[in-house]
Amino acid sequence: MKTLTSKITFWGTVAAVIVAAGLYSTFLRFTQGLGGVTNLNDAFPWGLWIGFDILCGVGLAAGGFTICAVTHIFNIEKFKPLTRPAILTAFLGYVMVIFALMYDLGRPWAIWHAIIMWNTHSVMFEVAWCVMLYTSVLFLEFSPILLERFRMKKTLRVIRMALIPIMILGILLSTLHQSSLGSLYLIVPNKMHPLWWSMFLPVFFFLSAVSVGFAMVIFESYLSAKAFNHGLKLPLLSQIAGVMSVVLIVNLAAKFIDMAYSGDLPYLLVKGPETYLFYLEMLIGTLIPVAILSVKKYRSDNKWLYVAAVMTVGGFVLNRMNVSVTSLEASSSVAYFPGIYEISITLMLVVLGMLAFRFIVQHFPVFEAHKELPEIIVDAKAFHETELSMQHK
Amino acid sequence: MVALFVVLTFTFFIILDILITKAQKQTHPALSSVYNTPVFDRHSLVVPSEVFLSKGHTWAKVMRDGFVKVGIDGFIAKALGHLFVTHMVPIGTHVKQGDVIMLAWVGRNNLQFRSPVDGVVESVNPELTGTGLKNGYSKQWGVMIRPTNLMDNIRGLKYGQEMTEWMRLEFNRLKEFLGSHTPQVAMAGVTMQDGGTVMEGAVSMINEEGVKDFQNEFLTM
Repeated sequence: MKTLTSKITFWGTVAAVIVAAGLYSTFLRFTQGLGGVTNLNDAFPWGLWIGFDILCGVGLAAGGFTICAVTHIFNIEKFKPLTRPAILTAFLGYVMVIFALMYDLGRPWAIWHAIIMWNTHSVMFEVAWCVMLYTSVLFLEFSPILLERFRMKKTLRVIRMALIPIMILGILLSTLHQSSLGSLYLIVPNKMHPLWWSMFLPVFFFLSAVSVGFAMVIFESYLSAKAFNHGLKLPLLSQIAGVMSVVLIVNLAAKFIDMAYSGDLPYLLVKGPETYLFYLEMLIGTLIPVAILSVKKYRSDNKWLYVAAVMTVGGFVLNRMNVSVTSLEASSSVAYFPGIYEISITLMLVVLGMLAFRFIVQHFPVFEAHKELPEIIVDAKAFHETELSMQHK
Repeated sequence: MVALFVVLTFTFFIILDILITKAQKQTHPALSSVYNTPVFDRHSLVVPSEVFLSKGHTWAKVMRDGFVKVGIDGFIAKALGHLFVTHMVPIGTHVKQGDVIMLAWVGRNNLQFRSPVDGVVESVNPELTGTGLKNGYSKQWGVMIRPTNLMDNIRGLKYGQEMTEWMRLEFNRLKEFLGSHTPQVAMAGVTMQDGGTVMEGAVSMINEEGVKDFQNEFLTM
C-alpha cells in the first residue's frame, strides 16, 4: 500500500482524471453523435478538434521532418542525437491526429474510402493520402528503435539500408501535408478574415510548421530532460534556435509582403477581436522569440531558450486556432466555443500521446542510439589551432 | 475567444509544471544553472600528436635534447574544470614511473598526479602553479625530467591509435563514474542516457568522497 501511494504523483493523478473524463466523453461521442457532445453545427462545422487536434497536431509533429532534413539532407551529423526523439514525437503526433480525426468524422468507419474512391480534385484527398503515407513512413523511420530493442538484426540491416530514401520520402510527404492543410482554407476566401486568408496560405503553413518543428524539438528536449533526467544538449538546441529565428523572420516578412501586395494592410488598423488576436499571434509567436534569439547570450541560456521555444509553440497554436476558428466566426454569424466533452477528448489525446512517449522512452532505445563519444583528434595542427582559438577567447 | 482559451490553457499547464517542480524541490531544466556550464563536446578533446599519455592522465613529450616534458592531460583539465596546481616535485628529485610529481587543488580537495617516466627532475614550470589549468598541454607543462629508463617506460604509455581508443574508454568511464557519484540528479543526467556531453568541471562538483574515488579510479597508474 505504501509503495502504491508513493507512486502516485501530481501529474499522474491529473493524467488519470483527464483520461477518465476523456473516455467518458468518447462513450458519449459514439453513442450520441457529434451533436450530443460538441457545440458544432452546420454554420460552424469545424471547431476545436480540427483546429487544435488536427491543424496544431500535425504542425507540432513537424520536428520529425525538420530534424530529418537537417541531419539527412543537409548532412549535419551533430544534430543526430535529436533525431530519434523528434521522429518519435512526430509519429505519435500523427497517430494522435488520426485518432482525433475518428472523433470528428461523422462516419469514421468510412475513413478508408479515400484509399479506393479517388477524388483527385479535392484538397482533402491529398491531405488523406499524405496522412496515410507519412504515418507509414514515420513508422518505418521509427522501426529501427523497435528492431534494436528486439534484436532483429537482419531486418534492421535492411531498414537501415533504406533509411535515407525513407527519410527523404518522409520530408517530401510532410512538406506536402503541412502545405496542403493550408490549401484546405483556400476555398473559403469570402468566409475567412483577410488578415489570415491568402493565396499563399500553403506557403505560410509550411514555413510556420518548419519554425515550430524546431521549437518543438527544443520544447520536447526540456520535457525529456525533466522527465527522464537527461541532459540538455544546449549547444545543439541553441544552434537550432538560431535557424528557427531565421525561419520565423522569413515567415513574418512573407506574410507582410503578401498583405502589402494584396492590399490587406489597412485591416491592421481596424479595431476588433480579429485584429487584436492577429497582433497577439505576431507578438508571442514571432516578434518576442526573434528578439530573444537574436541575442547570442540569451540564445545560449537555457531559461531564455525555453521561453522562446514555448512562445513559438504558443504563437503557432494561436495562428492555427485563428485560421480555423477566429477567422471564420464573423462570417458564420455563430459564436462558437467548445463544449466540455470536446475539451476533455482533446486533453485526453494530448495526455495519451505523452503517456505513449513516456512508455516508449522507458522501454526502447530512443535516447541511446547516438552514443556520442568525444572525437579524439590526435593531430599537432588541429591541436595548435584549438590552442590558438582558446587563447583568443 | 477559442484561440485565446487554447493558448491560455497551454500557458496554464506550462506554469503549473514549473510551480509543481518547485514545490517538489526539483529543478526545472529551464531554471537550472547547471545547464549553463560549458560541456565536453565532440571536438573538445584535441590531443597533440607528439605526446604519450599515462594511465594516470599525465602526458610525456620527448624533446629534441632528450629531456621529457611532463604535464596533466586535457581530459583531466576538462573533467575537473578549475584545477590549480599547488605543489611540484623539487628539482633534482629522482622519480620513478608512478611517483607523485604534482599536487593540485580542485574545490577543497587535493589530487595527486604521477610521473609517466623514471628520471631526475631537471626543472619545473613556475607559471603552472597558482594558475588554473586550461588545456594542460604546451605552455602548461609541469615538470621537465631527464629520463633514465625511457624505452621501458614508453611501452606502458598510450600513443597514436591506442591513445585514441583509450581516451574514448576513459570518457565512457567518466560518464559512468559521474552517474554513480553525482548528488544532483540533473547533473548526472547530462552525462547519462542521452549519451551526449559531459559537463566541463563536473568532477569538481561532486563531494569529497567522490573526488577521492576519482583519484583512485583515474589518477593511479
